[in-house]
Amino acid sequence: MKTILVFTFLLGLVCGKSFLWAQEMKFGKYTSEEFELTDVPFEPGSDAVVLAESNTSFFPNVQLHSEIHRRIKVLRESGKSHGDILLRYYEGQDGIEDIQRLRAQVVNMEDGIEKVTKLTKDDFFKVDAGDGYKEIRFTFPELKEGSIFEYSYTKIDKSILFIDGWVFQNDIPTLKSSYSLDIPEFLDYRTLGQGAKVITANYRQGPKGYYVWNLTDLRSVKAEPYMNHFADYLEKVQFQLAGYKSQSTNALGQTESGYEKMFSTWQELADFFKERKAFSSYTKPDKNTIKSLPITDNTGKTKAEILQQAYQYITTNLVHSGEGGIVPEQTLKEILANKKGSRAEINLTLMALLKASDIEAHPVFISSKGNGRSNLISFPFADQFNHLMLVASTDDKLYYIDACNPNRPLGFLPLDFHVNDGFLIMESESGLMPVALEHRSGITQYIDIKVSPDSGLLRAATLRLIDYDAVRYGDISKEESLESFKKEIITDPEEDVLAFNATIKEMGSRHTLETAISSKQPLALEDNLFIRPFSINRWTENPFTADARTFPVDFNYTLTDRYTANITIPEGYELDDYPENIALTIPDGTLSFSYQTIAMDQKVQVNLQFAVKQSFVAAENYPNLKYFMDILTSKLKEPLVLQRIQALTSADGVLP
Amino acid sequence: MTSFTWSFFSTLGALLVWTNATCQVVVPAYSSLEKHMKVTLLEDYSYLVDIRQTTIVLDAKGLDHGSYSIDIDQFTKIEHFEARIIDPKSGKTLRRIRSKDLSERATIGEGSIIEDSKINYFTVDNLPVPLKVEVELQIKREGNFNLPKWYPNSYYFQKITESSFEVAYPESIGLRYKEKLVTANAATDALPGWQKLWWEVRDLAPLDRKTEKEELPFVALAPIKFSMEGFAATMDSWQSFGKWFNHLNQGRDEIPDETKRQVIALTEGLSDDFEKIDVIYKYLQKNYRYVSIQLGIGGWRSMKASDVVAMKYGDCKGLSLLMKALLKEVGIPADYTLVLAGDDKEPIDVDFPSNQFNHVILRVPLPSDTLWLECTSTTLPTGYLGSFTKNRPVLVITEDGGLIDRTPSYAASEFHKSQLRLQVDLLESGDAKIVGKSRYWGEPAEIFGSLIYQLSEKEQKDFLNAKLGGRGLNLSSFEIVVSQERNVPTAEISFEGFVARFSQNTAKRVIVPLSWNKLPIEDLKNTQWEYEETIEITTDNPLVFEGEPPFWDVTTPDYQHALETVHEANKLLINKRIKTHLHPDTSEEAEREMLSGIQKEFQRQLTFKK
Repeated sequence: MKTILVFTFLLGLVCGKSFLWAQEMKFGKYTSEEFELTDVPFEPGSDAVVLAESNTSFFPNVQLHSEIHRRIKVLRESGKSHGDILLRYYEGQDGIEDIQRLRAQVVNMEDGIEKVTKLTKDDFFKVDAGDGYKEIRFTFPELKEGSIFEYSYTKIDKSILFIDGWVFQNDIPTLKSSYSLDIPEFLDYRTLGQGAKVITANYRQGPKGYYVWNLTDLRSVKAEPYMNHFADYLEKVQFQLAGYKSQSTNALGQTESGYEKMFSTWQELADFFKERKAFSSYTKPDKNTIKSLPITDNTGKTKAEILQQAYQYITTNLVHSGEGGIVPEQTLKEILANKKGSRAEINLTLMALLKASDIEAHPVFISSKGNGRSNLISFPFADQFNHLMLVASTDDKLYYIDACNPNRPLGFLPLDFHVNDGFLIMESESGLMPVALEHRSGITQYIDIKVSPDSGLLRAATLRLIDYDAVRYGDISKEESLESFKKEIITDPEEDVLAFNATIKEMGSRHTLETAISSKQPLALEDNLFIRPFSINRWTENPFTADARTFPVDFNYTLTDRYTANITIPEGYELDDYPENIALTIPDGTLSFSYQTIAMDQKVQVNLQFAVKQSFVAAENYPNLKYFMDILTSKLKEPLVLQRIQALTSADGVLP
Repeated sequence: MTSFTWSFFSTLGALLVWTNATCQVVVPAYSSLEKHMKVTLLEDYSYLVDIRQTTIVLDAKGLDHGSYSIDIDQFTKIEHFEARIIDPKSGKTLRRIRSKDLSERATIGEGSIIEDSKINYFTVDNLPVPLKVEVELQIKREGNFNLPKWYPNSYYFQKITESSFEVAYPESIGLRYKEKLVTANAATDALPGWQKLWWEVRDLAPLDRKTEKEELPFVALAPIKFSMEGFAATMDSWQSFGKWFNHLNQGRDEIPDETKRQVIALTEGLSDDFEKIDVIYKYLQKNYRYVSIQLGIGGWRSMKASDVVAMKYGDCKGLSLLMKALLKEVGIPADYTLVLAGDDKEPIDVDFPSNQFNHVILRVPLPSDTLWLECTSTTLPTGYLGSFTKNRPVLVITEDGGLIDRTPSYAASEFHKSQLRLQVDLLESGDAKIVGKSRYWGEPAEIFGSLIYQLSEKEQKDFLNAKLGGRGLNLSSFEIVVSQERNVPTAEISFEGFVARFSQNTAKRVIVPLSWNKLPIEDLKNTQWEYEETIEITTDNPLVFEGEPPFWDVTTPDYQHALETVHEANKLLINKRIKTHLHPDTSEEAEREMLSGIQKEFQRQLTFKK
């Protein structure tokens, strides 16, 4: 039976509708407001602004046509750099995308007259960007403060299963950004919006199948510290084909109409991937390939031990090519021979090995941080995923696994994989599952501080970095990793390190980096001794210096630090002064800090606790977070003061 | 101007390794290489490059060692290419790649709109190791302006079994070469009227990424007679090399009459040459922008100045030539100057006249001194070069040809001065309200030009909050004024704000840092430097100094630094002065030790009883 998409009889209607919804912005027609604009009220001091941009998308045939038009004004001299334009598209081998009808011009108001300079074909340079991508590059001449330049083109896309849609924000502020999509009656798309303005907009104003967003006053997007990528927070909209009407001819030559659904359930989406040849070579390997898997004699071993052994084998014997992705290109047989592969291929190889060893394991697709989506869409939208990891189950525990880094222990994921949900792929019952990473990250520190007449201030510290705080330093048995760790821990150049012993220990399900450090520091022999209890700490400076923030702060994982210092007061001295006790939290409760000093005879104990209870802090809470960190870092610099209560002995320079 | 150095970078980028015989760590070999390269210069100024190499990939980590790429531009043609990927166990050819099978990709540098450069390449993916990759290649290049540089190796973690380099040239063209850690052999089988040289290394152990550039052997070539697109000259001296550039740009500095009139009008009434240069340079900065378009010989030849005027943009060559033409209109001669630009670039080899440059600036000799102009910058002050081009040998193109000169180092203390005046209203909580003014001269001022040019008000504020002072700063208002005193950039920042926890408070004490702001010592990369700071702290309640207020005035042959603290009931005045005048030969270690010693002195804390 032959199935075709029915386009032709609807062609006229589709074209007609697109004209009904013509753009407001006409190429080459400028308003007096545009010439008069000198600043952006919601982002003063911007060097350029997108006055308006629009994307009018429709289907004149089986291809998607997007008429894109962007108009920019230079507000300050530095804004001229925005006149260098690069249009990138995927041509592939079959001309998947193409750009046509490109035109561009700049207008300058000179003595009240519009002086227009048009770019010609010779000004547009087409280059091969590799891997099937092409670029059209051009630059605008005669740019100066006040110049308005614009360009428009039609992008033609043969691939209509997923529609890229539109990102409403730019690296400069945008006054107006419009997107419309006119979907013919025989196609059915799901809409995937992100961002408050996109979601709350009244985008279904026209006839059925017509979507339009007219967003205004959109802030520029720029990277901020303590986040993965602003792409996760952009105002944008995408589409995925949900179904289409079809016609078929039956055996009697009669025409029958039908409706084909695309990925209406998570299981359908899972099956779509599983049925691909390379993918199925991992989920259902043939007997010969199974024989070539490195299965050892597991008699007497627990499932956890078998899992650990398989993980170790894969991480040390397969080389990660650096590529991510969710779809394998190599088959299981090929990667076992080649020993190098993408993340999907390596993790699926581990899955095949685990299954052959009777351990349940399944692929999980995720959208890692920075992939452009802060939360997964709750229906089967394939284009949102960019990495494949595994979930494996032993008798009592669920493991989330990425086997691409031999320095990362089993059960720990790259920090950008710390997401809320993933798409679990199974034979049946595939669907979204929470990615609940069980860990107890943090730093525990016990430190004994003594004053020695000969050596000054002596510190003996035991440091335990737990889980992700230990993992971040990698394999410290390697000299480079150890040195890097040491350099980060010992920050006071005055501190003379006498011993530094660091070892990785697995304590139950905890991965720890245990470090014993002894050090001495010169101490001036004066009436008052000033001692800072914690020379080793997570925060030597407040990392947050900007006074406002656009995007949430992302600590990547929750943690709890507990520091205890025991200071022995030397003979002839007493505790005179110490940092005042404090306990604070920021209003949303995501961070807390306490600092307490307890005096006991000739000893003083200082206890500090710091916790990040949620890895995200909302942008509106940023001022509180910044002040919180100012207080915390300041408190860590406050000293205890030991005061002399006996006069010096005759042996000047020696403590009695 | 990227094409200037195509051979330099394309080779260097991919390679860089040499043996360190004393190295104790065993570096693994992911592959082994046997490579034979031959360069044949032809009498029509073209040349051929023949390469035969066999790579055996031993480890999956070295799979990319089997890949191969060829730099192509308008002047380069692949005459022959064939590669075979072979299973060394069976001897079976797994893949055969010919010229038509190569993928292609543009290689356009960051900041460039378009360049006439691309690579043709193939990659080795998804194949089991061990793997043998044989490559045979011949390319022909028109014009011998740039000749390839030979490095024996191609990758780190690669063992060299054998690597040889042969060059044959007609005596009528001539050749010069520069060799390092290898020695030339003269071949005896050269044809009459021809010369032939060769170099060879064998059995080199693999190297890792710690290998220093100085440890790499190489052979660099330069012709005596050369030509590009019909422009012929000799390269045996900088003078003759410079003449070629003169010839290349001849007549391209003509500007429209309207522009000439504009320049005359701009400088009307000015008699001082520096003032004229300043006005014209600022006109250039305001009205023209840097856009890099490098096509064909345009990689070396400047755009016409009149085209730059029409488009209002140009690359380093076009903008420099236009500036030269503008100055000429007001009777100030200037010289087009070639430089190897970059913060981390080695100086050019002044003993080896050849194309070693990637950028153009302008030299303006005045009766009292010489000014240098970076014509691509929209923010640098007149007559001041940034770290991109300062303190290095350059080739100045005069009417008589090329000559080597040197750009200024700006080592004098007038280029390294800063000052802070700060009033602090210290609150009981330890927080503070502050009002201050920072002033900078020379290098420390440089960044503020770009700051006010490129960043929005919010971004400027974020920058100042992070960099202006110590921790906890929240500016409520600020003003940045950028200017210059002759060719010394200056910046003045006036600010007001709030500092969280300016002091640390214990139960009985207030501890005030002697230096709240970050002393710029850590950024100091100069022997002469001056810093002054005055902080006035006022409190609601009187504070009692614990101990004596510190005071010192230290003078050594290398530096002076002084501190004065004046304490009244509710007011504390702190004055600091630091001046360094190190001997230019001071070692980096000694300099670092000395500077950290000074820094430590000023990192003390002042303790007061509440």
